[in-house]
Amino acid sequence: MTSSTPRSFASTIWRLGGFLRFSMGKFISLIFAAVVVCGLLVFQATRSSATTMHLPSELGGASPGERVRVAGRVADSEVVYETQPALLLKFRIMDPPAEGAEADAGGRSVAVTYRGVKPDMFAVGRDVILEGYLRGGTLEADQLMTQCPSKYEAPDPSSYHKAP
Amino acid sequence: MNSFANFCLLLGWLLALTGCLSGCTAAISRSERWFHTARNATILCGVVSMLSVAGLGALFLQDDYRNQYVWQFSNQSMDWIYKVSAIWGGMDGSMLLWAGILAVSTAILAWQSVHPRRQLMSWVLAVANSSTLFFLTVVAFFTNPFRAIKAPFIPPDGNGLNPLLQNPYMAVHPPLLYLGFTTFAIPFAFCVGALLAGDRSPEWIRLARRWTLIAWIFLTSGIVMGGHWAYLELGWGGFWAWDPVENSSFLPWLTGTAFLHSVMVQERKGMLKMWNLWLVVATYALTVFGTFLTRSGIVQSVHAFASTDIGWVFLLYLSIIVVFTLVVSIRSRHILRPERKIESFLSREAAFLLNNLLLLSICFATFWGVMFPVFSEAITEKKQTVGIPFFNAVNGPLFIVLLLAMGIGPLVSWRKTTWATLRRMFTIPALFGCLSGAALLFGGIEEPKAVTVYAVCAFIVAALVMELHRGVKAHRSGSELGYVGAAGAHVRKHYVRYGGHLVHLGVVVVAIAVSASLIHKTEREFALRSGESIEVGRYRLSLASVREGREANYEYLEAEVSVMGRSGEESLGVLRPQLRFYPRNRETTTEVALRMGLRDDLYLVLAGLDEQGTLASFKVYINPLQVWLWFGAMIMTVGTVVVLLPQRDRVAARAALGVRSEAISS
Repeated sequence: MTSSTPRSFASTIWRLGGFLRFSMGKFISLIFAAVVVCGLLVFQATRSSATTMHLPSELGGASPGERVRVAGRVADSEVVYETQPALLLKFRIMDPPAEGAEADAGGRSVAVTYRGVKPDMFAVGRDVILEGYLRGGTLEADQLMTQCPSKYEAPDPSSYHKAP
Repeated sequence: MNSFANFCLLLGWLLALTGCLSGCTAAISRSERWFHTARNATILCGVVSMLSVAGLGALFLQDDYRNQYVWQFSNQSMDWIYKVSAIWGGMDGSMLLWAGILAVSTAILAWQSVHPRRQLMSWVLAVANSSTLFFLTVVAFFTNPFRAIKAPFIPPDGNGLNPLLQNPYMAVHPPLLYLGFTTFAIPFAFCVGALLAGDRSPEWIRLARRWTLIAWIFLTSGIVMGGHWAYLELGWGGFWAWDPVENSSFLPWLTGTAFLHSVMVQERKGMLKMWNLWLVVATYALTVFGTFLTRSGIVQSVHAFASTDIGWVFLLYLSIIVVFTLVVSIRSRHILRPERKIESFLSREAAFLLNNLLLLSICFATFWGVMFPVFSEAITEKKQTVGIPFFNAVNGPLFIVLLLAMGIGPLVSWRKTTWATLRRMFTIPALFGCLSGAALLFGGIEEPKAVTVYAVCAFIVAALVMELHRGVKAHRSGSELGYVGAAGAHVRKHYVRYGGHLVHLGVVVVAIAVSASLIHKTEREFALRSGESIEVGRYRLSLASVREGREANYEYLEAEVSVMGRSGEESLGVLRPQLRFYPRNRETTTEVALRMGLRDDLYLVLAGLDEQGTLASFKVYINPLQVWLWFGAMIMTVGTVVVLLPQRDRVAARAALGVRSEAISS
């Protein structure tokens, strides 16, 4: 630093710290500092936004004020889509059947209301992910995601019916 | 055709194996003949793999429902273009396309591999072929798309492609993404090949960088097109949801971008060699990881991932890559030793390092978010997830710092600089940034995040303009040129640098568009009867009519909504959102009506019609500056192409390396 300009406060502090000389130790400590800052950010954000994933049958354990995320299958019961006075989708979800097992239609399904546009691909038998709060046995969801766009599952061709 | 395509696939597998083994033999025995065997096998492998992909395409075009995969993803009434794009409509075909594209990239590499550094190129071919071999193995033995249909009879018509995938962007987006992913295998081959060959020359790092740039263009445009597809098709008014499938393409993009920056330090200064090696390996490993993630079903996603049992194959391959590179890099650590040390924190080298740390932090945070369900289940036995707020909370600030670094880094000189120089360079841009921020605050934009982003962007643009201005002034001082002429000459002379600056300008445009459309978005639900109207933002929407109709594949409801300016009677056009019902798949989809504008997008979704058929419900989004996101991405792509233009000093560089032209032509 040969300049005769008055030193700024920052540069003075910087020089006092002796940081201008680069050495391997400082290189490592820079990386370390970055890791710590990133780790803190991640930790903080995780703590504030982690939501527990439930199956519909496990929802009984959720406390009323707790935000829950549920992965389930739209049950084969009535699906009501009200467009008045506000968009409201009502349906029931159940646990996706275990591999190979027959779907059991009755039983442990949970009622869901969702405020919003019925998403594309929403249908009975589809797997959905919901987020919201459980109130009085009904899951009031504010987020509804239907799984599908890239359909990697093979349907059974022997169930094929000729289109009308 | 089916057996021909399958035969091509198996032949490709054999050729990849041949290429890999003969590459190794050539490298070890330094044999010219084995090298040519490897080269020819690799080129042939690319040809037959593509024939195999074309064969699958032909099966689709012929509606050959003896093939299970064709039956599953196509039907007779589909447009021919979607029959072709159905090749990558499912798991098996997409893996075939993936392997095919990889084989072709490797073949191009082999085509160009008549290079005097025979031992290096032999190892590079061997490593590249091993990647092809892995993916062809997966296709041929685990996800073969050429399987006969599992039914006692041949169905007269197919199951049909998911209607959401019947969109031009969806026809282009996956191949582009695969091109990006697979091309990252080539820099990986260069790095590992150079280690195996013990090659210290700077030549291979230059080639690796060019391949990475190409991969980066494809990956960037593939990601953006995916976002554009989501925006047009999914009807939720957004373009990015931090979904695992999106993140899996974003992770290698981040490490690839980091490598493109830090590789310059290696080219210029011979530093960060170990670091760069691992960035390349990480990038390639993350593309494989992405495939694993999207095909193994270990995390929940909007996209229905198959819970196939081939996840372990990818994990196995992933660990082989990492362990192998680790062993090789320890064995050849002498060639990774840095030639210099970083001298100062105030230097371009340090700025690149900062850039890398930020990109890797974003990469880590995103990885953490994707894998959190798996981690939390392993540790607490309770499956927890983090959603969009997590990613925005962590990556938002990191991106803002990255932007700021992007404004400063490229202008800092190599080796070291002084505070006085920095002050001279950045006082005006910093003032300009602060003033724009203040102006925006007074202009009524109050969200601190948005103002910060805009101010930083103003700072970057000012810094770039000042840099250009200084360059032009210096250029003029020695010549008679006018300002514009000098600017042209200056930019032409340093086109690699200005290509890079153009990419940064594109990033600025994208950053502004993203924050504007996220932060200043208007979102409303409403219902209208025919003849009624409503005011939203600066628009007045009135419903003219709702009609029903029928197409070959679907039935639809269509609302005709005329758009007017809020005050006057001036008409701004008519929007026709649709609600479609596909009887074959028993699915309803919404067809968004979009009015794109430079100032904002009007995005209208028809949500439903009441039972009397008179009251239609809508959801409307007004997304400010949305189109600039796509423009910005285009600028980024163009900038990268500029950087890739053949270098005039390349001949000189070759001469300096002692490469004779006879060696090239032999």
